[in-house]
Amino acid sequence: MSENTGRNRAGDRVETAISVLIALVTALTAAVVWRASVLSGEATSADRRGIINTLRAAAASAENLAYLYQQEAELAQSHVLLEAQIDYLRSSAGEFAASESGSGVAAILNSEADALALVDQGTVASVPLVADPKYRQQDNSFDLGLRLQDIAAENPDLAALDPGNDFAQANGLDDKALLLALSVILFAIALFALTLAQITRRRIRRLFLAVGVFMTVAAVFTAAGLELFFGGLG
Amino acid sequence: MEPLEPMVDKPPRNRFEYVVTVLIMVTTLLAVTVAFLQAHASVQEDRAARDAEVYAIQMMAEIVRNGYRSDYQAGIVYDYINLGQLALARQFGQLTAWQQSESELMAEYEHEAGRLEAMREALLPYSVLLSDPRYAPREDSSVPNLQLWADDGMAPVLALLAQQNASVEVRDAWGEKAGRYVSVITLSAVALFLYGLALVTRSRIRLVFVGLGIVLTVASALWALITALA
Repeated sequence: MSENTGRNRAGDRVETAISVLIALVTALTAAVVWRASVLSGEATSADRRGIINTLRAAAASAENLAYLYQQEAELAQSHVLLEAQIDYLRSSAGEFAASESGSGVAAILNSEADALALVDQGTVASVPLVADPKYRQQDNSFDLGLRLQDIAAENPDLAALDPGNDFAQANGLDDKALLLALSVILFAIALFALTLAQITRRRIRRLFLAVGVFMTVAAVFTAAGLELFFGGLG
Repeated sequence: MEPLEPMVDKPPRNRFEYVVTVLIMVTTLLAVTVAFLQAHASVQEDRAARDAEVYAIQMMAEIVRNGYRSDYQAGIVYDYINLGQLALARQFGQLTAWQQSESELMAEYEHEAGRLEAMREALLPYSVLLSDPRYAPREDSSVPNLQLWADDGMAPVLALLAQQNASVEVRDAWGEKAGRYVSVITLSAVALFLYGLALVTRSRIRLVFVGLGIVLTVASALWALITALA
């Protein structure tokens, strides 16, 4: 009789311990699910930030293109036309100067060329695309691509926009959240084993209890390991 | 020989309750696994949706870039043709002045025609429509190959469009998968409800609840498996 009572008391204690373990594992599962949910929210934010930065980069690029093609390239074209006229006038003046009675005409042509050169220097030649020789290509045309790069670099904030970074961060956060969700399966297996331990007796109970405790420890280590592995994410 | 002690308590913990408890745990495990699969599918859907949005923005930017570039190139071609026409008009004036023996006027026209021609020639290297042999006007025409130019300009846009469409297809496929997993989880929840009913019911109807629960659990597991393999 007393032996049975002792056995019952021991059984009650184990049952209580298993109940506490089940409660603990449930709380841990809830905490991990909460953490995964927070990470998932942060991933969504990083994704949104990436999309916004992609839009900002596209808008900045459109603004740079508008400036390049509608301002500098237009002025550069005017410069090209002025230069062609100046060259033509100087060449014609040279031809007239060679003839006996052409010195007067040559002087007129040269003075027109000088006036055009002044116009050219005063307005068009101050445009970086024209003024800086690095933008000239071998065939004398303008390197608009290089100029576009330099215009973009003039605004470091916009040039530094890198949506790829935001997307990489979002991917990392999503991966971490997913792996945490995977660890929830380990917690569920632990709960499964602990529940079986709760409703069984004797040796089989010990087996289920051992499996439950092992799975709980494995799940906790997995969750903690994920936090360490992903470091600064989230 | 000492009789074996039963592994499961007698009432209230009888074999029936033991079996139902195991079924509840199995169903819960299934639901948790499917929840993970659903989360995974949902993440993949989000990523594909994001890719589609990025491709759409890049496509828009490419169209804007094309617009500015085409505008600039077309402007040069327009000036080139215009200057050529003006030079031709001056040459006609020069010819007329020569016919009427107006030598000074003829020289003036000749000078102007030469100046316009020089301006026209100067524009040549500044437009790919005039300098690139693929687009430049052929001998029998003064108009560049605008169709080829437009096709080449649109090629990156069309490539981005194809990528965007592919991303949308991927997004839809994952979205469908995620939706199916939600249905599986719902079925599992119904099965869990039936097991719960079976535990609190004492009549024979509890066997029906358990039977239905098992059918739903098996159906959920099969559906989840088919969805995962699809």
